Amino acid sequence: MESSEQKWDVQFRKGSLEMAILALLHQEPQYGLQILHKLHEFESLQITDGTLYPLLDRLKREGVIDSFWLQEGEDRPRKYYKLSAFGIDKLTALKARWQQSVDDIYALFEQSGLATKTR
Amino acid sequence: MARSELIHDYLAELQIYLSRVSEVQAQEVVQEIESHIYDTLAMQQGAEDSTVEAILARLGTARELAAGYIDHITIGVAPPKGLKPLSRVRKGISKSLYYLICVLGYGSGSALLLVALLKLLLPSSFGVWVAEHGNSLVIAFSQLEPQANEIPALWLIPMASLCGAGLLYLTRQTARILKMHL
Repeated sequence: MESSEQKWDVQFRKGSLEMAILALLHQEPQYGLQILHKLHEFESLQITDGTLYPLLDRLKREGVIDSFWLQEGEDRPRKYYKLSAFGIDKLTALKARWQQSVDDIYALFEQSGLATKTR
Repeated sequence: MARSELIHDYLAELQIYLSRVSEVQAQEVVQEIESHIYDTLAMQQGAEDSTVEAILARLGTARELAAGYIDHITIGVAPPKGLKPLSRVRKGISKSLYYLICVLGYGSGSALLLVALLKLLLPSSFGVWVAEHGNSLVIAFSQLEPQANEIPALWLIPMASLCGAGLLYLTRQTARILKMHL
């Protein structure tokens, strides 16, 4: 049975995973396995291999990322993903909304006595 | 099963389940997954979860993985609301078509095999006759009919078994494809 934390993770992830992938691709193009490993460095962003690839496909169809095949040396060709111009705009907007949302929730915590004012 | 065989089978199955996207797109997905599997194998050599089985398990079954791709495509092009009853009717048709094909195909296939088997076991009391100048066939248990227009066992047994087996195979393939689209 899923623990309640896992259920929360699923809920959180629905919105945040997309943003996390866009943020990961902000620096440089990466292929699926690289993205997967990076996401696994963060406890709440761990997804299975079988979830990542269809998600990348969806983001590509939405036009926020582009893909290209690259063969380096003797390695087999890999499919790299990079942010599209639209994706960069979307990431900027998502980041602002995310920040707003975190600020709002934190302010609510403060009002409810759940957090002390540190800022 | 050998490692490469497992991977090959998985990718072949994935390609089949991706039949609803264009062939080029399906091919690209398969290539990407193939590259992922071999990269993971190379990077995790010696690690505990580096077996092909473990890697494939993390991808999910070929059917589940393909569904991940197909779901957002089909959701993306959902028909307008007015078409909902229509799609339900169409789904109903394909479902009844599926059962019809199963009943007819498996039924006729088994019947042909049964004819071959009966002729083999009871050569003198069972047979198939050509009647009405070639316009119809009579399949019967009988010893009284004239033997002239009976299809000889030498022909009947191999032909009936071959057609029966062929029909069963075709039905199975068709049913598999239809089931995927149900």
